[in-house]
Amino acid sequence: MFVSLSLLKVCNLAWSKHSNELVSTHGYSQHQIVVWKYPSMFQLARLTGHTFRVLYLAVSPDGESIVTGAGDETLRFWNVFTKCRANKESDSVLNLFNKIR
Amino acid sequence: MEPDFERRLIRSMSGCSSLSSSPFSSPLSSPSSIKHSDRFVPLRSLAQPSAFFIDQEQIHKGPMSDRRSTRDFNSTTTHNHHQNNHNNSSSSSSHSTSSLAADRSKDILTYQALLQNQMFGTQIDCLNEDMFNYSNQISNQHSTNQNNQINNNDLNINTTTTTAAAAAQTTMSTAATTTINLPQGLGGTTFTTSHHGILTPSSSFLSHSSQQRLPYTNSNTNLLRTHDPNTIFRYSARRNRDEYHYSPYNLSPLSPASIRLLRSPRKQLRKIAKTPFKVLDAPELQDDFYLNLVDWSSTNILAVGLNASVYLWNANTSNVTRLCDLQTESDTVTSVSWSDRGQFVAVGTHKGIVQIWDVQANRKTMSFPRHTARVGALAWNDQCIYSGSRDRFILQNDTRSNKQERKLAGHRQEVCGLKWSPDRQLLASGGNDNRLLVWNQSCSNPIQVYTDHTAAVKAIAWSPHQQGLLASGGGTADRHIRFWNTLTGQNLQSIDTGSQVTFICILERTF
Repeated sequence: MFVSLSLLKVCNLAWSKHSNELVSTHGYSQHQIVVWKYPSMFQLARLTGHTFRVLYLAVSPDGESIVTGAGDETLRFWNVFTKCRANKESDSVLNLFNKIR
Repeated sequence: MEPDFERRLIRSMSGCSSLSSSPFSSPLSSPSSIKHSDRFVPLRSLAQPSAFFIDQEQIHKGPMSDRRSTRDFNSTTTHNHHQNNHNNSSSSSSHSTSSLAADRSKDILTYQALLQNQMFGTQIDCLNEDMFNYSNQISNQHSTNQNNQINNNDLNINTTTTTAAAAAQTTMSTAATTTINLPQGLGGTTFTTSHHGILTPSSSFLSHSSQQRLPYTNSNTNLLRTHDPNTIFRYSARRNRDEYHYSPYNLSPLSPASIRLLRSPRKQLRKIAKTPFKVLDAPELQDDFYLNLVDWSSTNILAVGLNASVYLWNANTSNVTRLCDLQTESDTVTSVSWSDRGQFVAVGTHKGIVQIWDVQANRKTMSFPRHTARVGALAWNDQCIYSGSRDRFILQNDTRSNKQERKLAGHRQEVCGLKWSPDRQLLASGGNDNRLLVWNQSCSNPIQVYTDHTAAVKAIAWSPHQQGLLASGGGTADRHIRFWNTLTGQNLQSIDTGSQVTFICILERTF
């Protein structure tokens, strides 16, 4: 499986620790950070702000935020991933464990 | 046949009974009191084009307050009724925007895109936020136009010429904004929808809707790509992505784009902040693709290599300390990497030295001057430090014994990416020779070689959720993120059509 990024150079990649998501940073031609959902490869967000290609990427130990570095000599911290996934229990009667008291 | 049944049947055929007593009627009966024959299709409000267009008008009014009344019009809607209803309620258009209304309008946007796909042959297959904003903005604009138009409609309900002219006018006025507000889409290619070449139905609500043709982006533009140049002499059954969603045996009357549109997630799962919550200055942070100068430890300390120094920024206290300075050795930092427990920082330098620094003691504990060129990639595995260098080798050094353990030779050019799998069994390395190699703990030869990339492989990431799943991204000429199953040694993309099922199974296992 591959994903075309339309003239984007992939500089760095990291997986989310908590959810099945992926963040990639890009250089030419748009200096941006893209958050993907795997495996559907649905783009959750595109973050822009860096004025140079986004070369460096690190994920925080709690897995919630990332830091990106670029040749514009800034480090930017982004809140990208969430720790607890929205675990909504459905009220369906088919959900057996909801009904047991 | 039961006598009772027969009696009812006869009654319903003669048309003297109401619909609900017909033996064949669905329990979901139509709200209308029109006589139907015994074949009855339950009314689905949004599935009908007429209902769709009325809801289309509803979106301009905002709230769904008088939905029920509009719904009742559905069965007997004529143009006049519609217009009257429209005028009555437009005065009471309030501005409350509930989430329900937003949800609803998103649905309507989807239907609009779907209709556009089917009627005009466009290929909208994803609705993004920009589009949603665009439609809101157009609808706002439209509501202002509408107010001007209402008088026209009151006077000339049946003369379509003036309404058409008015619609044409508004089309012209929106055409300017259409070109400005086109969102830059996923595929990078944006198509403008031209309003001119299409026959517009003369009734005014149809012309309203066609006036709001969505600007669209097609996420699947890579289908138009030419083949990779390096596969000319190699047979590969190259599938396009489309086939995952659409097969030639599909009996659906919808176009592939419409199917993709309907299968796309209905709403965005969560909001991601578009602005950084913190920006730090990093003077002299080098702009070099082959370096790895930022790493975040498990103890919440960020290590950044700035020219000749390594700085530590404590994320808890926001304190900055300088760990080391290579100015005296006239060397520069080319890579930093934290050990797993956050006790040591490995620093790779331009001269090919790997230094191990103890953060607590703030001193250098080890130095491995074993490379002959700059060290661009570092990876820890327990106590061992693996370093990839421009001299094409990956060296394994043990921080306890100060002796070289292994020398991994496989790359033909600079090693720029190096990552251990989460279970510490496999090492993935990417090189400037466009190759992605996978090594294990013991063998000195790569156990897997992937050559599909067409540019330097720097971005490598192992999935923490699925064992053996590796994602890698290439440099300038490549532009792809590729996924590999390192357990089976398969490129998840290049499996030929015969084993498509396996591919899907692999993907589904991640859920």
